[in-house]
Formats: sequence, C-alpha cells, structure tokens
Amino acid sequence: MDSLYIGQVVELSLSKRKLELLKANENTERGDLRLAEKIDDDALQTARKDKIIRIRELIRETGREIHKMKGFVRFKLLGEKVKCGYMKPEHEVGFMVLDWFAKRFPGKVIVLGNKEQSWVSIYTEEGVSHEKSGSLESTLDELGEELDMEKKKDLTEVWERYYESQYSERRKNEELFKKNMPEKYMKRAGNKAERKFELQKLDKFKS
Amino acid sequence: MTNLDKIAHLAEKSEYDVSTPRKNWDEFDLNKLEALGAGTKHDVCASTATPRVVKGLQRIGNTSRGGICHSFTPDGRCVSLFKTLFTNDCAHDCKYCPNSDDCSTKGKTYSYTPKELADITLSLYQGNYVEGLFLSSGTGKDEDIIMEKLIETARILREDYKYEGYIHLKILPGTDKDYIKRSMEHADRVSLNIESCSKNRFHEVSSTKHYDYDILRRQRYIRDLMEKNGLPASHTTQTIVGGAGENDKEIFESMIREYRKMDLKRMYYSSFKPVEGTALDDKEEVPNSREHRLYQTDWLFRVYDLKPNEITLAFDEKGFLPDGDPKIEIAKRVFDEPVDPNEASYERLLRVPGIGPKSASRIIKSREKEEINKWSELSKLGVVLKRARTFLKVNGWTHSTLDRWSS
Repeated sequence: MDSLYIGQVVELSLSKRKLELLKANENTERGDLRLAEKIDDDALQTARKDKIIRIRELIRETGREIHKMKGFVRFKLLGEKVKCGYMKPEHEVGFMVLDWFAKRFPGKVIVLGNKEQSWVSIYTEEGVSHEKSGSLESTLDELGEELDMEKKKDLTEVWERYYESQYSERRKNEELFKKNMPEKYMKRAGNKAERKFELQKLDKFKS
Repeated sequence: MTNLDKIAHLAEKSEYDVSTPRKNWDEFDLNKLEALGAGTKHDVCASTATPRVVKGLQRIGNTSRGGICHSFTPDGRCVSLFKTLFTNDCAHDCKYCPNSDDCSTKGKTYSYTPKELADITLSLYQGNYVEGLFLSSGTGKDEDIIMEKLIETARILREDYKYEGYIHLKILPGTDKDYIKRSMEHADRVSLNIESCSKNRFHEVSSTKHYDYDILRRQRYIRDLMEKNGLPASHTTQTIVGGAGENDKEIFESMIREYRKMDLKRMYYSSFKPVEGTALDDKEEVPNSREHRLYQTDWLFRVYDLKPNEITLAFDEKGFLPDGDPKIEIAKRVFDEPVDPNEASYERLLRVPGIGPKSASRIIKSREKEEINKWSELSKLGVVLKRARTFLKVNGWTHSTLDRWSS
C-alpha cells in the first residue's frame, strides 16, 4: 500500500457494495447519500452519531431483504430454459437478487416479478445480462415467443408434505418463527406453503 | 432486437451439458417423503456455509459462504437443507429412537433408491426450496451397504447431474474407513452423532453400538482424513441432552474433548423428548432451555475464547447450568470492579455480558477517536445495556446492584 504524504487529500468512501445497498433502499434520502460520500466503512461501523447510524441501518435493511429473497422465493420451471417466480421487494434489489440466482444456474433465464414489474437475468460465457421489464405475465409472454416454455408440474405439494414433516409440536415457538420469517417477507416472496400451515395451526388453536 | 430477445437468444445458444432429473412427480409416494423426512426432525444442521468456491458453467448450483435459510418451521428452526433418512430400517436398539428395532409403534419401513433421492434433491434445489441435501439413515441390516447407497446418491448428484450445491452426509456408526473416505470426497460436511457424553452414559441408551469402536474411532478416522485430504465445511456431531440422565457439566466436558481432540467444527445439542413406543417413553421430557444454555457455553468457548475453567464457574454444585445467561453467572464471579470501556482490553470487554466480538471491536476503534462518555453511546455501538449496565462504569457512573461494588 502506498504511504500517505502531508497535505494529501484522502478520499473517504464506503465500499462499492455498501453504497449500492444504500442507494437501493427506498427510504434513502439525498442527505444520506451526501453524508455517505464523506465516511468510510470503518466510520460507519463505529459511528455514534444518529445520522451515520441511520445510514448503517438503511444498508442493513436492504441487505436483509436481499438475503431473505435469496432464501424465500420459489421457482417454477418453464421448459428447459426458464425459471420463474413471484417477488415484490420493498427496495430496488431486483438485479442484486436475480444476478445471484443467474450465477447459481448458468444458462437459465431467471425471471422474478409481480403484476407491476419483473426482472430477467442470465449468466453465460458473456457474463451476466439482465433487464427490467413490465409485469411478470407480459415478460413471460414475450419470452414465450422465443423459447419453448411448456409449464411443468411444480413441487408445491412435495414441498408442503416435507415442510410439515419437519415441525416438532413439542418445540413450538411462534415468537421465534415470526422473528425469523416475518409476514412481510413471506408476502413479498410469495411463500404460500408456510403461510397456509401457519393459518391452519391458528385455526386449530382457536377451535 | 429488444434486450429480452437478446436474453432469450443467449439461452437458446447456451447448451451446457447438464442432465435433468425426473420431471413427473404424480406417482411419487408422499407418505415415504413424510416418514423419512420426519425421521430427521431432531437432527440439527444449522449452517450451510462452506468456503468451497464453484467455477465454470457446466454445472447446476453453487454454494454460499454465509449459509441461507429457505424457510422456518413454526418451532422457529431454519429449514435450509432437504433433510431426510435414506431408510428408516435400523438394526440398532437406541432407546430414544422411533426407528429403533425395539420401538413398539414403529411404522412402515421405507427406503429410497439413490437415483430417486438424487432426483428429488435436485428438483427441490432447482425450485429454490433448499440449499442442498442432509442425508442420514437407519443402518438397515448392514451399515456398510447403506453407506454405499448414501455415497451413490451423492455421486449421482455430483457426477451425473453436475450438482455443485451443499451436501452433508451422516457417517453411520461402525462404518468402514474406506466408505468414510469416499463420503468425504463428495460432501461439504460429514457428521457422526456421539449421542451421549461418555461411554457409560452411551450404553444406557444403546446396547448394540460401541461408543469407543463405532463412534470415537470413526470420528478419529474423519479427523485424520480431513487433515490429509481436506473437507470444505469440516465435521460436526450431535448429542442428546438428558437422555441418559447426564448433567450439563458432563456434556460440557465432552464438548471440550470433542473440539480439542476431534478438530470438530460444531457440536449440536438436542434436548431429550420421549417418543411413544420407545424404551424411554415414560421418561420425563427435558426442557429446551437446557439445550439453549449449553449452546451459550459452547459459544463462549468457541467464539468468545473463554477458558473451560472460567466457563465452569457458571455451573451449580450439581453440575447444572442455572436458568439464566451463563455469561452473567461467570461475570459475577470474574469481575471485582466495574469495567471502564475506555480502558479495558478487548478480552476484558468480551467478558462483559451484552458485549460481543463485534461491539467490543467497535468500542476499541471508536474510543481511539473520542472517549465514550454516555451510556447511549455504548448502545449505539451495539452494546445490550440491559445486560451490560451492571458490569460497566461510564464517566465515573455505575449502575451496579452487586453488593461488593456498591459499598
């Protein structure tokens, strides 16, 4: 590493990843971005000032949504080439989630979205190519003109039976369940099996 | 050409040589899936993190350095892997186990074929339901025959399907060394459950397995093979809490032995729950809090680097952990005076309840710039004041309720 000289202007900045996460948060304001240009990762971690702590929290919140979406979204296979699913994130994390899946499944078109918007990504020898588009339905229609997208039976039933087999009544801990799998993320990732099982248990409890 | 057209064109062009598994699940036996899945519900596999780096395009899947939970059951536990038995047929007589040969309520016996199990694993993985496979099994009539099938399942996934996701294989007690070696060639992690804390306690719950020969010797094989050939996510074990009447201190001592002698990555604890029809079905259930306290001591040893003789300060005279955070019990005995966060070393800060490795590092970095003068500043650095306040001194102020400090 080059040594510093007296009078040198040192540019402080957050890591590229942290800045991306901050910019992607729906609640980030201009003032947050201006302040973020004046601090580095170290200052962020050791901050005692509320304005910097706010930036730390915004970054953490975006990162949490990406992490939850990577775990909670489900794919249906359309033909040999396309994997699609529902996702309605709160923040602008579409490509961050999609590109991660594209690298997991090279050569497959990954499509995630909802009624308003969708994201498409693919990873090949040329690297990652991605696109933001209209509704999930219209995007699939458009892709269907190019690719064989015969719908296959999904694994919902298999998953539901397996999921239920893992539950231990003696260890029931709804508080921990809600903390780890908040309703907000189940809705945004479209986790029907988990929500259905949770509602069935509540019905049993009420009766 | 729109960007979507370009993406479709790229997909058409990409012909990666990857086989696809079974597509029709209509005739699949869901009762088998449920029974063999339920057979692993007490097995813990908390992490799917592995440092293995996956490259190239001729593959399905990859790994995650941080681990990913794909769901949570209503008991709050993470579902990250497709956790299943290969078969629930078992020749052993473990007194706590519903698959035991002696269990009077033992249900129908099911088995997968390696191909069937590889197919369902890959399909669940492709649907993003799971991060990989956790494969355990009853021993059938011969553990080596079943172990061969577990290995064949992993081989199909890795070689035929070019699957690069996470695999955790259980090593069955008494397995031949060559099978252990072959398992480790495919797996990210392997594990062999010690089930109990000592030879004597072990033989109270199983008469057909030998603690030294079937368990500890195989763990040494794993350790030695790992040292020679590597294993991305190392090996782990699991023990039942209170199944054979052991106290917490006995389990803690076995924890230290396992970490030091077997080079173990993690030890997991599962509090005993009686299962109808088993030899121990009238034995009282062990509360989950015992398991939780043991995890806390494990954390203090493994992550906080506390010495075993410090941690044993938390145990009562009967060898049990009290119903409270062990770190608080230890701190009450270790600290003679409140700790000043502007002066204390990293090691001393780490011994304060409510301060972890991250907040201790933050305190040290932050105080280099500016002294800490307010309780609220500690909170902003991640300190949990509810637990820490009693043991700290800020700007000359203490909140101590400990008799020896208030005089």
